[in-house]
Amino acid sequence: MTEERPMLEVDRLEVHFDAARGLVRAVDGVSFSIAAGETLGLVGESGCGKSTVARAIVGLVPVTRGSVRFKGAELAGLSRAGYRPYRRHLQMVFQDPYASLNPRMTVASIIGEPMMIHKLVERNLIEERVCELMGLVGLDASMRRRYPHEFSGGQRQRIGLARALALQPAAILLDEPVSALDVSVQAQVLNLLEDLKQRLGLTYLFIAHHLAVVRHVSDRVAVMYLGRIVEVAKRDDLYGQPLHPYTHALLSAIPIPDPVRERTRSRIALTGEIPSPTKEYVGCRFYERCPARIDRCQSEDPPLTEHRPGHFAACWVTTEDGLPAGAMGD
Amino acid sequence: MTERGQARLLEVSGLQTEFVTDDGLVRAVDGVSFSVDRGEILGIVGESGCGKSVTNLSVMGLLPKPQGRIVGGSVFFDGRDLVGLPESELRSVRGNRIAMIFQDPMTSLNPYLRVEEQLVEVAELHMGLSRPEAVKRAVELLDRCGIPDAARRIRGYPHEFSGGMRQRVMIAMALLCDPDLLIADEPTTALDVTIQAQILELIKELRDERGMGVILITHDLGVVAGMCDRVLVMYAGRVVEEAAVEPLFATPGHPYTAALLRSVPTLDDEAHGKLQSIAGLPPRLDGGSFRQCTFLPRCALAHDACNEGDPELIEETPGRKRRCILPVEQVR
Repeated sequence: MTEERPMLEVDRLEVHFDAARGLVRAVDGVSFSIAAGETLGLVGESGCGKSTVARAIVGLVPVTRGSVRFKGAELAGLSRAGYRPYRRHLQMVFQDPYASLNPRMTVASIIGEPMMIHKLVERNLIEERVCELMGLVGLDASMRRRYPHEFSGGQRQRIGLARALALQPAAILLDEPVSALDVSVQAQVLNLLEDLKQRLGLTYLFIAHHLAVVRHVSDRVAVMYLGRIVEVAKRDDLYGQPLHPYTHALLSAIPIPDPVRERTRSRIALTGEIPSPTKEYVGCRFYERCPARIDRCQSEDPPLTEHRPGHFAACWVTTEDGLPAGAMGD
Repeated sequence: MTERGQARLLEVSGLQTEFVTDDGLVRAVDGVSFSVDRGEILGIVGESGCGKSVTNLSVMGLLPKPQGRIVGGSVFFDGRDLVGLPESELRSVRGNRIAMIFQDPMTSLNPYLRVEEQLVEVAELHMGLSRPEAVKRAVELLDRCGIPDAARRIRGYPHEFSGGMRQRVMIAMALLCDPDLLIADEPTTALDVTIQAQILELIKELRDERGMGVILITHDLGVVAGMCDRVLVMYAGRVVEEAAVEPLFATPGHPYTAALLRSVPTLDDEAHGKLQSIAGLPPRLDGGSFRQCTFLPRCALAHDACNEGDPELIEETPGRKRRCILPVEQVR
């Protein structure tokens, strides 16, 4: 296999915030890479730090420690001006299509402005390019003089995508891009994302809490818990043979839209909630809620290790064969 | 199941609800009928704007005033019509016998009052308990709803609880008076899956223990599959299908139900494959009558005959109703 440089490499990334309740370790040692043309899914529950990872990559929050490399160039610690040449290559699409579009700008200016700022297109050609982009994301270009409030949620998410695509980015970081949408509209946007990726050769970091949605779009998937990645693997390996007890529990908690199966399957009930990210840990962060814990987990922090080729998990209990029988209380 | 002759817990017939908006009249609910028995969980599904929440606000008498009003139909709760009841009588039914929980717990918790004050007030007001009895009952319920260390936590303010814990506080408040009917409007939508599983389990247990009837409004078909006995599918302010949960998922009888089922990614579908989406938007509900099927412009199975009139909701087999002229075997 030829070693090609990943598009994006995140290495031991830490993002800490000072808050009234103490130091919040939102991201606390996260490493992953994304190859060109790949979609990496990042899943986890609220507060696990998944959105902060994306915000740190695009420079919206400062990196405390660690490294973020785009095609080999270090982005962590760059000043605003230093970051500018990279900004257009890494674009972000947000969850809330209501909050992320300026309500006083027409759609044409929302999509056109970034091109103007980055001087990507001659001023007199911007209009034409806006129409082209609107067509690309399935919006009627004759609506370009309208304001965001005149569009539905799904259409606004398309506007957000067109704005991101305007800069011809290499990678798009999608933060819960379909969670605010109705299922039928969600399906339209997921289909569009897939289609754009094929046509434009895009690379995605797809962040969501919905495991079935993430599975649908991702090539590889990473699971986060309390500021750390606890498992990462190729999609089918992760969903087919999960290694970490937290991944097991998450998968078993998703309701399946099939009454016969949903009522007969066994569920791994987790108790409690994600603890505060201000807490300091000696051992595993999942210890308090883990149905498979052993003594060692309380005193030693399990590193992310390769249990099978390309399949990493941070757990003392799991082995190459998965979790030992009975470990999950079945 | 209800014995012959005994009134159903809730019987809604021909409910019509209108709103006066800046853009004119909107008939958000247009002739909705359904019933809920004791110990039954009825699911109501449909996309934003289909009228599922307004239906339940109408049942509760909680429509925003003066914009919203019930213009037709009846809501019989335990044999008494709630439509047109004076506010004072409605208030004693709400709280005492019908309780509601919402997606966002902060809409029903007062941020300036300790949880204790809010819960105890409800117990004193609706159950006539003394202060110490009310506190005892409140702590019991918080504990039952999975709030650890309830006797101490009850003195906290809502902001001191996490989202999942606040949702439990709201559920505890809703259940304080041992309601006969619980209306849960997207109760777990804002929660993470592991917490969602805990809350849904709790609702099911309470149904089993107390024989409480439940209306569960959700857009998550997985939640419906796991929780509900019967399901109403709503579209454009009306019921387009009603069925027991298993046949609904196995053989949907309306193209809208079928399309909804296929638009959700599942854990075993073909990855990267194309999901079925539903093109277009629901019709404007200005109170006028429809001359054709309301789903026609978005229906993948539409044919000429669908133009010839607005189909009725027909009970073809007992307990199974649908609003579509296609033979059921052709719906997919």
